[in-house]
Amino acid sequence: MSAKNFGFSIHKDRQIDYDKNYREFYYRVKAVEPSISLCISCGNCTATCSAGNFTSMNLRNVILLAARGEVNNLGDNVSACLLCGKCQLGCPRGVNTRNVVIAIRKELKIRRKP
Amino acid sequence: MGKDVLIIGGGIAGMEASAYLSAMGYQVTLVEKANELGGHLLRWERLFPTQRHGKEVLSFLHCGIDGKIRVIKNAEPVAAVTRDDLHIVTLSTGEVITANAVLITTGYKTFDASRKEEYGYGIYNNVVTSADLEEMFSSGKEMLTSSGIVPRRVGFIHCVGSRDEKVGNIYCSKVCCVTAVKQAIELKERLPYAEAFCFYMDLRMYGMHFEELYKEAQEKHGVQFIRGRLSEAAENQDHSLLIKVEDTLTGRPLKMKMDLLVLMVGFEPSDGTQKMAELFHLETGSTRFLKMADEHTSTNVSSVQGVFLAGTCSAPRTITSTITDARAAAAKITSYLSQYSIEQREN
Amino acid sequence: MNFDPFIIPFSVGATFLFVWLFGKLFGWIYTLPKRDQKKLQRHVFSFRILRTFGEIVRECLLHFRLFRINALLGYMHASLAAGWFLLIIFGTVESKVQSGKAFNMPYDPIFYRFFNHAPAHTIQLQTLSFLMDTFLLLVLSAVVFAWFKRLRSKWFGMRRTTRQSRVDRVALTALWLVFPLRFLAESATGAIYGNGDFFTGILGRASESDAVFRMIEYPAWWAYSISLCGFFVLLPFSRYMHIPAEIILVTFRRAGIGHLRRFSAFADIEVESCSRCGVCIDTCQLQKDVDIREVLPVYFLRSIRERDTNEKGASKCLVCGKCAQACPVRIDVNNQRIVQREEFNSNKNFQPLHFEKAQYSGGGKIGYYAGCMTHLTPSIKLAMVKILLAAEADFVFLDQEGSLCCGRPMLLAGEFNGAAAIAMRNEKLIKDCGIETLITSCPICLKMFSEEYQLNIPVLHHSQYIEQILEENKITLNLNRSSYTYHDPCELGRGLGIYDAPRSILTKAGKLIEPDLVRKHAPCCGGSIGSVNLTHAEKKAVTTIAIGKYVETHADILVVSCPLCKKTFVGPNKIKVMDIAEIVADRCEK
Ligand code: SF4
Ligand code: SF4
Ligand code: SF4
Ligand code: SF4
Ligand code: SF4
Repeated sequence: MSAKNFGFSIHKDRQIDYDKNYREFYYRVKAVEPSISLCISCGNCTATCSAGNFTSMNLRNVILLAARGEVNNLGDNVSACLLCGKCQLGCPRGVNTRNVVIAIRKELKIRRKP
Repeated sequence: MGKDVLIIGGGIAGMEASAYLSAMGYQVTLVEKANELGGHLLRWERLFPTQRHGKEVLSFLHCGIDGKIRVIKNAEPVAAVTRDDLHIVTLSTGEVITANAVLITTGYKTFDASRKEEYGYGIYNNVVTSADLEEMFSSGKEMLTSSGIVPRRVGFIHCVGSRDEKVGNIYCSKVCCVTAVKQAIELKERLPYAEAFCFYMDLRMYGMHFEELYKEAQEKHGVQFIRGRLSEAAENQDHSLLIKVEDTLTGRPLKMKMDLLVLMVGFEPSDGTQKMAELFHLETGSTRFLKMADEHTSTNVSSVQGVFLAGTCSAPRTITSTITDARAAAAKITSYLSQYSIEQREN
Repeated sequence: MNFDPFIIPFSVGATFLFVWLFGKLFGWIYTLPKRDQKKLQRHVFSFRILRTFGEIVRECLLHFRLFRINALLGYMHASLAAGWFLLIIFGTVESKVQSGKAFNMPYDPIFYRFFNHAPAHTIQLQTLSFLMDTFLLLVLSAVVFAWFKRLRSKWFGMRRTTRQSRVDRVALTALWLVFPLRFLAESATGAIYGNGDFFTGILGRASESDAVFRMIEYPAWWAYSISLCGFFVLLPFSRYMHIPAEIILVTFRRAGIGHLRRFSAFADIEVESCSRCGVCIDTCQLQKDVDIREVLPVYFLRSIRERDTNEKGASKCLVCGKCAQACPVRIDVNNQRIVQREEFNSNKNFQPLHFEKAQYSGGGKIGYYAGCMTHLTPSIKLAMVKILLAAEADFVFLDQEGSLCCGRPMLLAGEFNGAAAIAMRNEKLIKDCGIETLITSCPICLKMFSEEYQLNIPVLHHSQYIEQILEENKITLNLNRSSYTYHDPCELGRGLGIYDAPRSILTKAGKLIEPDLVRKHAPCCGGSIGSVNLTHAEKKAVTTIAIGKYVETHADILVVSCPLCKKTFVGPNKIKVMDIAEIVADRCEK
């Protein structure tokens, strides 16, 4: 990138680089649990989350980041989930939230393998 | 001419369609279950987006029909048969009415909020519905919580019973977003020192002047908007409520104490609508509203010949759109009864 | 020594089978954990083994449970198993009596008639010969029934029957051929030498000339031997492995051996014990309502046996246990299921992080634990608080501020390590509260507390507690005219056998109208946390059909005793749904 000064700068790490991001990740998760695509980011799941009482678990955000291919920070989040299913009871779109978490954990694990 | 039209349901759509059809020279009979015409309009004090009084619109509707048509109150159809394009309908009063066309205007009912148990309607005293709040407004009494204090913080919860797979209603009820904004403004007008919050998933301000109303709520009244769906409410010792939502735009769960929680209940087909579907063998869509023959070109036509639809029995609508729809239905019925050649068009 | 080359196929097949079976048995015992080996040893050398024999006779031969399911089905299986068994026993006796020797060749009884042409001359031999014909007739009737079942499965109480695999079909053909061929061979010999009894003599009596019989006799004996060989060789690879496996299963089970948290010898024996009778098929709502057949134990267990576990079968299942309660072999399908889920779990060492912050409030003798789901049905927890207050109980609401999950949802998903970690933490939290009795509103938690926790205090479902305080007159109910119908939640009913407490309360509160299917036959509400990836639409279909039966009772209220069932049944909006605690709280008087 040229160092031309446009009078503003966007820190590279802050930017979602949609073209370079690992968006394949989302499609792989979606193949396992298609209902991930139904999420409307209402936040019901996050508000009710059992793990959210004690941790930064935020399923809405996890789904959104996965959809953007921003996978680097998902691990900590999803690893707090207890699979209790409370979120699934409230989700207005019928997203199969527990399996979304399971599928994401699986994908992350596969990805980490050398 | 001299043909008979039976209109079932004396709400906004029924009244306006009656007015037009009788003006066009048909013999109109309007059947209403209650002992007063007006339907839901009777319960709405002020109407969005102009804050005019519901009563004004009601008297406008009355002007169109009073003395011009036959109104049968406290009655509903109990049986219906079709013979040679004639609909023979028996009423609960025992009277039998024969009509060349039937218009269903049985409308909607509001969602039973106690089905969203986690919101606490019917469990906690300070959880009310938008309809309850409207009644509080129109009663003219001082606004108080169940513990007798003036509410300092009021939350409006959007999409209760709408856009929710878990209660089987996937559709948007269309009017509740703007109603929430309207009610928040009214609340602020009455209680300038109270805080008002709207909790929404999406703000659907699609109508003319709706966005202006939204802007006014922000600008003049300081209504605050938080994007997040309520997950659960609990009651505190002092009967105030503790709500849990995610403030999705900051990305963090949020707890908040509320003195009053208003649930913006959505539309469901009314019991009368469901009954008419059975009686006249009308098809219903996946939403359980009566099915229109075509979503674009035959919105007033039902799946049965000679039976027409108007108003909220076929979809959630605003008052404006209900009135427009009633007139459209009148035109459609006229065209059907007069056998205009445009009736030959394919959908 | 009697000998003819046609005994060779039989002998080869039988030898192969024996070697195979002993190898298997040895393998199973060898891989048992030490503790279980000891249990087995102690069991086999104790008097309890007699009762085990009893069960083997009852279930493996006479098929009592199948009789209870459907008399025709029971008859078919029992006459085949018991008939064949008796043929072997009495055949052995017959050949020994005839030869007068304690030892003869193992194939002698099988081909007895071929080697012994003399008509039975003593009364013992005549009786034996008569019995042998009776048993053969019995077995052949079973084969006829089996044919008939293919055409009219409904008569056997089955709407759908098993779709057989290829090996099964070949083995089945071999089995179906064995007895008609034996009949043919014995009849031919009987016709030639005039030694057939009332049944095997029929052909001989019907025809004058021997010529035909002389022609078919020898080939028939060959065919008989070959079909036996075919059956024996295929047995270990077909569903007929269930015959020996079930005997071992009964013994192991009686010795107190059960599932481990991995695919163990016991699980393997269970898998091999499935007779693919198909009784489970009609019980499963996923099969009936949304046409998902992979979950059916008959196919799912087969996929495990073929070491190619069907992933959909493992994950979609509601783990409702309806199939398991119907299974005549008593296969613990629920545990099979979650063990297989564990196999699919990509993250075996996974442990959920950071839940140390969870805290419960103590300070009371009775601890009330609502459970996560109950926080979404506040009427239930408020009702319980009201009841506990009315009963003047010294209680504390443990998880008023939110619960740590009990761990069962994770266990059901096959994440054993994670579940254990949560359970350990939650157990400690509960113990630290110093309560003496634990009451919970959630059957899922209850199941977990009773089976996986070591709390060492009584753990009750709220319906049990309410029943108890009603009996002790700590509260009374004013009867009203409402009518109720009751839904047995899977985890509370089939899972824990708690059927009576809610019913006894309801009969005190009003009129109880039971639907068609109750107690262990009750449907699953469809909302089960047991399923990993059933879609919302599929669940909804199951729920809508399940609720229909309750609506049909025309009761005023559908009563449940599980927050999850309540939330699920509220969805279709067909009937008013309330938890049993709410019913009691509404009507309770001090
Ligand atoms: S299943 Fe996981 S994400 Fe959902 S509420 Fe429970 S802990 Fe939170
Ligand atoms: S509750 Fe459902 S729709 Fe809402 S954010 Fe969570 S997953 Fe998405
Ligand atoms: S109009 Fe607004 S509040 Fe009503 S259902 Fe639609 S989005 Fe929800
Ligand atoms: S699981 Fe049980 S009921 Fe089902 S086929 Fe096997 S033996 Fe029969
Ligand atoms: S546990 Fe229930 S859902 Fe699963 S296979 Fe058995 S009957 Fe079907």
